[in-house]
Amino acid sequence: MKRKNKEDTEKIENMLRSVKPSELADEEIESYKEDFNRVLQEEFSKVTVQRDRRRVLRVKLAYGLAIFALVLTLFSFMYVKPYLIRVATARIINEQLRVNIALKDVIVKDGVGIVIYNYQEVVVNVSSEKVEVSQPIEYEPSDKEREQAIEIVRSSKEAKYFVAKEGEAPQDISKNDVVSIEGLMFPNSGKKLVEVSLAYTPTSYHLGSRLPPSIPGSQPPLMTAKFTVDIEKGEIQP
Amino acid sequence: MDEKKLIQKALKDRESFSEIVSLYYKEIFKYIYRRTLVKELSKDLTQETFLRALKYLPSYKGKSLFIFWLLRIATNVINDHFRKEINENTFLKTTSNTYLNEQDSPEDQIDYEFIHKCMSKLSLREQAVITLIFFEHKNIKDAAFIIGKTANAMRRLYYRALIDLKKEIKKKCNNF
Repeated sequence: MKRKNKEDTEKIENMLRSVKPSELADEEIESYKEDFNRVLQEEFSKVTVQRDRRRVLRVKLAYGLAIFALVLTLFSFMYVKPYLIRVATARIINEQLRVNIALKDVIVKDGVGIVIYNYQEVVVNVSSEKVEVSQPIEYEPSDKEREQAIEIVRSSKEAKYFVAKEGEAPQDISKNDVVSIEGLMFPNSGKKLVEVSLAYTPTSYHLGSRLPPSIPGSQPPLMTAKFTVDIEKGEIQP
Repeated sequence: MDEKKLIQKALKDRESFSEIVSLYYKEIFKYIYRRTLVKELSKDLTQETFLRALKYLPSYKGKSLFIFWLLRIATNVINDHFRKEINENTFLKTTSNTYLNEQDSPEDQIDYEFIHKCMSKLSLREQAVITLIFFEHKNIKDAAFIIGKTANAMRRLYYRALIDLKKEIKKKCNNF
């Protein structure tokens, strides 16, 4: 079969070699060449001008693209690097502390990932995979911070539908008196939390069942509900 | 003048480009005519080849012979023309004007026009391969450069072109 194919190929090659292509007289081709030279007199300058213009445009385009690529690289570095640190921080905390962290809860500062978890600050150095846990420092919140914290608590649904114990009916304590305000500052992230305590009376309290009605001036027990406010986010920490 | 210097000068100087045209016009025209077999069309396509060469002259880096670079442009110009004709459905009209009687003996039929007619049924690349190798007497390596393929791909294309051409010839004359 192979031999047959080879023979066939050779046969057609020999046939093609024996074929003389159609030729035109040289004079005729020369006359065409002269015609083209006349065309070239007009076209030469047009083509060269067009070519130079295209080259200038190409250079401008190349510069434009280079600048665009540079800007894109800078932007991606600004946004991609913090994202990668968040991912790495969440992974390291999961591996070392066995705690799942949402990426949105990771703070990126000076190339390290910081997570506020359970009133502790966990600092993760992603390059060395080192984890440091530090406690918050108490501080005195400014008047503005106090006002903001109270405002956040009073308008929060946690205070409006406050449930002291499981199974109890919710009560609105948002307008209740503020008992105390304390500030907590985390040293590495600089994040501040404000603890606002509101007074409330348990709904399960029945005067008759606890105190003898004959005791004059008897008062229901005063309890406090503590709310931890993240002023930056404008919300109460769960 | 040295060819490289002439090409460098031809970028800005019309006289130098005319010199290049004088040197290569005949060869390019003949190649195009062998592919088309129509004088006026060959004249137009040769003109287009040289104007395109003038336009892209700065991209010629001297890695191959200048004539190969021109043949490559000519091949593209021819292929562009035929593709346009195929798209506009005028290809069959222009290629079916001259034809041979199927009763003729094979010896009578094997002339260039007959081969050209059979070749017109092949792909544009296969047509270019056969023309370059058998009628422009280029070797596989040079033809590969002109068509823009590697030597191995070119070899495959060459054998496929021969097989396809043989089938076309067989269709036209059963005794082949």
